[in-house]
Amino acid sequence: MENRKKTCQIYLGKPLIKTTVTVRYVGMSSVYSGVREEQLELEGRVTVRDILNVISGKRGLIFSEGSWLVLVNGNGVPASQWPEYRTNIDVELSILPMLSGG
Amino acid sequence: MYQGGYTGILLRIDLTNSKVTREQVPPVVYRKLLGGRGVAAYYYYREIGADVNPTSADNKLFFFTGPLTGLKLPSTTKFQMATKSPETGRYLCSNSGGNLGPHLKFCGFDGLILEGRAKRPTSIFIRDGQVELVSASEYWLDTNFVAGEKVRSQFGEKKAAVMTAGPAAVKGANISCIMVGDRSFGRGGGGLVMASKNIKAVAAYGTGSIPVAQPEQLADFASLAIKSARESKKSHTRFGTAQYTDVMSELGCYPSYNFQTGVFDEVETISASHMVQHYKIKNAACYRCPVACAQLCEVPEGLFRGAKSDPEYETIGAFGGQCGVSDFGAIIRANQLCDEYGLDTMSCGTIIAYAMECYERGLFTEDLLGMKLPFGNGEAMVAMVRKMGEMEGFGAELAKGFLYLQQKYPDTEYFMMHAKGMPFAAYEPRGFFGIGLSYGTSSRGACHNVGGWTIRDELLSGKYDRFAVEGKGILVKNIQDTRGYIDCLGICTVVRSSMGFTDVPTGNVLEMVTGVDFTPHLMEIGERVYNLERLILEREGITRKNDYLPQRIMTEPLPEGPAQGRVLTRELYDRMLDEYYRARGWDMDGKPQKNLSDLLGETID
Ligand code: SF4
Repeated sequence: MENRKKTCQIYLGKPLIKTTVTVRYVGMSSVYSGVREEQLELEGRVTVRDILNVISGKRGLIFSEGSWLVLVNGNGVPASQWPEYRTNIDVELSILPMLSGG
Repeated sequence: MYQGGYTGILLRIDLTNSKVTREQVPPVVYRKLLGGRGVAAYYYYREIGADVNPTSADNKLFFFTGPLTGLKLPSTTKFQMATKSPETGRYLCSNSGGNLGPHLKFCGFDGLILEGRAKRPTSIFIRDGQVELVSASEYWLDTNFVAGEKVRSQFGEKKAAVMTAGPAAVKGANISCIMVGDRSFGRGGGGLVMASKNIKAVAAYGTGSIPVAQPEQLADFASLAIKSARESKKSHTRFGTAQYTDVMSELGCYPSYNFQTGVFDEVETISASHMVQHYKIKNAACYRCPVACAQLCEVPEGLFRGAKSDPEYETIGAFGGQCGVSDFGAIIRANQLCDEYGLDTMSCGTIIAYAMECYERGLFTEDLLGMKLPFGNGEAMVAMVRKMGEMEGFGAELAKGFLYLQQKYPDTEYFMMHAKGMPFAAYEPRGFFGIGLSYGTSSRGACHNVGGWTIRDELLSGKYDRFAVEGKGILVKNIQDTRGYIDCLGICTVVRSSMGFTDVPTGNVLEMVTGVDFTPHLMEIGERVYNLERLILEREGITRKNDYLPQRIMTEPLPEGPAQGRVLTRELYDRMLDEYYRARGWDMDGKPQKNLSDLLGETID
C-alpha cells in the first residue's frame, strides 16, 4: 500500500518529499541518547512531534511538556507547538536540557 | 500579628563604640516588604545617604533573613545583604546560601546591622542571644577557609556558621566577596565593606527554634515539597547549573572572548558532561537542600593537579568562554583561588577577559601587566587571579573593578562589559534582547538574577521572539517582581516552584508559617521592593542615562552562530526601556512617581 502511494506520487509528477533532519544532542541529551549528532530521513513534510516520535523510538528519550528543550534551526519551539509546527525539508533540530533558572 | 516565621528582632552592632542593641522590626515593614531583600533595602533607604563613601565608617552592612529562613522546608538557606558597593559606588543587594542565615534565626534574630568601625581586627560571635566581639588579629590576613577553621576553634563550636572577609578584601579589592562557608555574598564588594569595618568574621550558633503558625500542616507540606524539588531538579543534582554551558553556546549566546562572539569553539571541554565525567567528586548542598546542585570537582592530573572547587555556570562562563579557556582544570583552580582570597568569580573572570582583549589589541603591554595575557591561556589566567587576590602588581588595578578602570584607562572603555559598574553575567544580550534590558535595569547593575532571567520565556513560552523587543519591558518587569519577592522569602530560587512560588503564586505555605495571608500579595511585594530600590538609586544619581549597555552590545553585530548579525541597537533598546518604564509607572527618565510612604501605605518612624 505504502509503495503504491509513492509510485502514484511519482506518476503524477510530484516528487516524493523527504525531510532531512540533522539532530544535535546537546549536554545531557547526548549522555542519555549515546550520540552527539545524527541524520534522520522522514517521508513528507513533518511536524516537530513526528520527528520527536522517531527519536523517542530510536533513542528512548521521552518528550513531554518540560522534559527537553527543542530548537529548530536555533530557535526554541514550545511543547504546545510541537504537534502543529511543520519544519522545512532540510532542518536542524537540537535537543537540550530544559532551562529552569539562571 | 505574626504567629511564626519571624523573631521580630534585629541585632544592631555599633562597632565604633562596641555597643550592641536589639530592636523591634516594625510589623508593617514585614507586611509590606516580607523579609530578606525588601527589609534590608528599607533599612538601607533610611540609613545610608547618597554621599556615604562605601569604605567609610558611615557605610553599613544590613543582613536580613526571610520568614522561611531556617525552617524545615526545602532549601531555607538564604539570607540577604544590602550595603553601598565599593565596586559600583551605589546600592547593592546580594544573597547567600550557607547556614549563617538559619543560625541567626536560631539565635533569635531576623537581621543583623553592622555599623561604624572597630578599632582593631575583630570577629563577632553570636551564641544564642549573646554577642561577643573578639580579636581577629591572629588570622586577619588568612585565607577564607583557614580563617573559618580558626574562628570555629576560637568560638569553641565546630558546627558554628561562619562568614569571613578574605585577604583580597583586607587588602582593598573592590570586587571582594563575603564567604559564608563555601557559599558567598558574591557580587559588588561586600567583603571590602566588612574588612573596612575591621571585621574579619561573623560566627553564629543558635539552639533556639523558630515558631510556626501551623506546625503539623507545615510538616505534611514539607515532605511533599522536598519530594517535588528532588524530582523536578534531577538534572541540577546530576550536572548543576553548569548544564547550561553548552546549551548557551548552541544558542549562540555564550559570551566568549570578552563578548566578541556568542559561540565558544571549545565548549565541549568545559561542558557539564565533561565536568561530571572527568572532575566531579561529589555533590554538595546548602542548608536543608534536597537538590545539592553544587558539583565538587578535583583536578586529577596536569598543571593544576589537586585543585578543588565547585564551579557553577557563571564561574565557568567567566573563566571559560569569556577568557577563551578550555582547560577545565584551570577553571577549577581559578575558582578555588577566588574562594580562598575572597573574590567574586564573575567580576574576576569578566575583568580578566577585558584585560586579555586589551593585551591582544596592544592597549595593555606585557610590561604593564607583568605577564603575557592572551585569550585561552589558563596558566596566565590563574596567575592573574592570584595577583588580584594578593592585590599585587596590575592585579591590584584589575581587582578595583570597571568603574575605577574606566577612570584610569579611559581608552579601554569599549572593552568593559558592565552596566552601572557591575560586570556582565554569562548570557549574551544580543542573543536574548530581554537579557539586555534585564542587565540595564537591574537594581544592582548587570545581573541576570536581580535583573530578571528572561531566557526561558523568550525561548519557550511561544509568546516572544528572542530577537524582538515587543513585550520585553513587561516581561522583564514581571520576572524582576517575581525574583523581588523570592529574595524576601529566605529560600533558594532553584526550588521555589516546589512551594508554589512562581509569577502566579499558589499554595499557602506562608500562611502556614506566619498566619498571615501573604500569598495573594507576593507579586505586589516584589514590585514594591523594586520601586524602593529605584528610589534609592535615584537618590544616588541614577537616571535613564545609566540604564544603557556598553557600546559593543549596541553597535557590534555577533559574528557567528544562530544569533549571527544580531545587535541590540540604541533604537531597539530605547523601545524596550520605554515599555519597561511605562509598565513600572516611572517617568521616561526612569524616575519612580512614588515615595516611601506611598509604597508602605503609612508613615513609619
Ligand atoms: S539548589 Fe543549589 S544553590 Fe540552591 S540551595 Fe540547593 S545547593 Fe544551594
